[in-house]
Amino acid sequence: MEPIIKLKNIYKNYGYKEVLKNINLEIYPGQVIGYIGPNGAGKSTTVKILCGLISDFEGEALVNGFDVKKQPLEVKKSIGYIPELAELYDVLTPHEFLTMMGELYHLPTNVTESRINAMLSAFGLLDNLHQRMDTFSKGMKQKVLITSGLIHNPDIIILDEPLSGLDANSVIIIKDLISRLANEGKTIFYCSHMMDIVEKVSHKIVLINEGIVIANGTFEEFQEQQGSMSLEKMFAKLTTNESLENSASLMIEALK
Amino acid sequence: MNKVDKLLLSLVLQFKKIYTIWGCDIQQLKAIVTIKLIMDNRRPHPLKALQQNKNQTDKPINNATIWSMLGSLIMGLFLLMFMMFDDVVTNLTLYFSTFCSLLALTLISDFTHLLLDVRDNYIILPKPINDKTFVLAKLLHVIIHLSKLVIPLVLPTLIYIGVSFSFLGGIVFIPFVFLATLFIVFLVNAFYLLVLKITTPEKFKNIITFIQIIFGIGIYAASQIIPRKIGQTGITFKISNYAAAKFFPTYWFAKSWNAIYTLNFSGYNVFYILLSIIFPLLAIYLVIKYLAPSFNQKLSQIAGSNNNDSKGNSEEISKSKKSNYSNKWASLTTKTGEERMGFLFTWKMMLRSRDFKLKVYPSIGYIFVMIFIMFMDKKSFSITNVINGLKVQDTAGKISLLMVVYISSLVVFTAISNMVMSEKFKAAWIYFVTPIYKPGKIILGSLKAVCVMFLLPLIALALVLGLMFAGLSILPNLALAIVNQLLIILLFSLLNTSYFPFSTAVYKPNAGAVFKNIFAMLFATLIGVLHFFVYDYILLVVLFIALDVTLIYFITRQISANSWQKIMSIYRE
Repeated sequence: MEPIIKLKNIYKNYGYKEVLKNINLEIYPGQVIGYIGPNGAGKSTTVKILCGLISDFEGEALVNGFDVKKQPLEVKKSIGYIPELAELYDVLTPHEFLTMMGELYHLPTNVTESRINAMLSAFGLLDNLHQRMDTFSKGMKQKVLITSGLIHNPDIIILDEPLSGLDANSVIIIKDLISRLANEGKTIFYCSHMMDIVEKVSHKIVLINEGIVIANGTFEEFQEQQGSMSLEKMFAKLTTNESLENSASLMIEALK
Repeated sequence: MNKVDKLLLSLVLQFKKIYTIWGCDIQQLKAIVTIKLIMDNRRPHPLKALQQNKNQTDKPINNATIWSMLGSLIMGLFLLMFMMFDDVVTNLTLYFSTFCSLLALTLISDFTHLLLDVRDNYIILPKPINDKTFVLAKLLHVIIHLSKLVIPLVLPTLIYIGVSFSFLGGIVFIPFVFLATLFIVFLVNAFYLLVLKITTPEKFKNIITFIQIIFGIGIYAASQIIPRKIGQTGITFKISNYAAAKFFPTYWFAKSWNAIYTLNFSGYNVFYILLSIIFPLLAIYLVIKYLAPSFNQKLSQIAGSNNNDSKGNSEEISKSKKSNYSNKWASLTTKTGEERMGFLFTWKMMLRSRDFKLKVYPSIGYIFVMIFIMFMDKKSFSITNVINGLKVQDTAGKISLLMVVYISSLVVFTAISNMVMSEKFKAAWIYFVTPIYKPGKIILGSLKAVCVMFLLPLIALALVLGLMFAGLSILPNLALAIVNQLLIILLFSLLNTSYFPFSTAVYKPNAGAVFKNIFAMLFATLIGVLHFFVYDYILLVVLFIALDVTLIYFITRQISANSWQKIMSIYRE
């Protein structure tokens, strides 16, 4: 099978600062990829490259068979990008916002309309369809964002911290949704800091630190290498030199 | 979307075929512009946002477009007053100048919304849209936005010209309005690009705020001073008598219109026509060619999370210097604990909150303009007269001293009533979760911060000028004026504020506040008048100072004794 996402020798720098140093990744359809790393590791830069937002990088990036540098529009068509919370035109109503999204993806109006209705009623937001989003709770906004990323039925879905601000019930829905989408053959690129959820939903986990992929494999493979511990512990072990317990005890020390 | 937007959108979409030839996607184009127009329609008008009582619970803003167009139309009618002189060129020069400044003022604040919506990067750019469509969508959005501003602004004058000159005269007027608009778009654009070139995107908004303040004060000053100046010469005033006029593009526009209307193409007239056509077009070309390419880079920088580390360091150094200054004043004027915390917090917030600056600084400017005009107008209050007056302490001298000091206290009033408001008012939970024994002390500390920041410089200035021109003899009266100020301010806040600094979205004066404010104003005036009468009796002056100081002592105690019950009752409402 051909990989649906292929990154080969990717380098990217902002001025003198090297953000990505030789990233190589191959992702196959139907996989859920947990993309994790500390703040500033290069996660969002990778996402920007995948979405076709950045073209001035070195190396080769193929998404759904299209070259990100040469055919960014084709790439964008096959991706549903769900940004972090709050990146929303919140003076609009969900209906207005999602209709615009549909137009931007060239969906026929009746398809957009029926999908908006079906998806928002699944999320229990149908009553809020014509209310402005500036009064919405975080969870409601996040649900609208998720809908906007799925409305054109993309092959690849990129989620950036999709669970922040959601209540426990919504988290269950989203987690379920992710695995169902993968069953349908969608590829999910899941960026998050919540290790316990990444551990559960991902088929494969990619750990990136300071622009380098330092671990890439299934959780089971990780455990074989690192011993049986939680992903959280592994993350800490692989991305910091100092012991985290030490900083906690220093904190306690400071209070004495 | 409202009808105006619909009409304008369908007008600009008349050229679909051309757009398609350029490689734009009409469906996406229409979707983006539509959504942007809907959002514009829900954006609070900048003038409205400046008002004190922006009620958050009010109905959502729905017809911003109609209201701002109505505002433009009223301004447009107002501009008709420039048609009063005998000389057409003078009329039109003044008209174009005011038109241009108004347009520039609006655009400077609007461009941030029009061009710098960071959310575009997350919402629109990841969609399959080509660059041309996106750029054209922005351009069309700007064009529609401009038409909504310019058309009502120009309409009254256009009709006036059509009627009082000729229909043809009106037609000729239109291209010059277009050129003037183009010229202003260039100016504002160039300004933006220049500011972005020399500064960091983070500081950009602060600079814009600053410019808006200066601009506002400038327009206020011009609206006060120019009519008076012109009034001296009457309707025979002629702009061409001033050689400097030749250097203003607005003069070229006026001159060219007149030349074409009278079909007089002699001498310099052709030159002016060429100038007014070539200059704006060339300017726009230059912006597109040389300045704009870096614009998008900067734009993405604003959105990018990668801040340069070096910048942070240099800023911290300057900050520590500033905090030394505020710390010094804090330890001089406040006791440790809640009071000092209130002082330092308010001090820092006043320096950094954009909202606060935007509301308070213009009013400071207006007050200075008022004082300036007061002296400019009256012969008996000319600078030399006042200086002499101060020396011998005659009526003119006395009045000007008292007026300056007492009017200045308006600055402090404005600062106090704005100090309690903040956009981030929810952050005020810090006051309520911490065990504060005497909440009144925080309020007192914040009042002291306002006084040190706004009253102290005025006192210092009055002191220096007073000593320079009048010598030591002025001291007792100056001292009385200053303690009177303090008394008035403290009394005003005792009656009004029991809010914590920067802790509420809207400043809702409590019941009977209007009455109380009127009382405070009357009281202030009364004290001023009283001061005028006791001015010469040094013994009385000293007595009043003593009385004031005693009163101030008791009022401060009263304020710092503000209990939780009283404060909570306000926040509960």
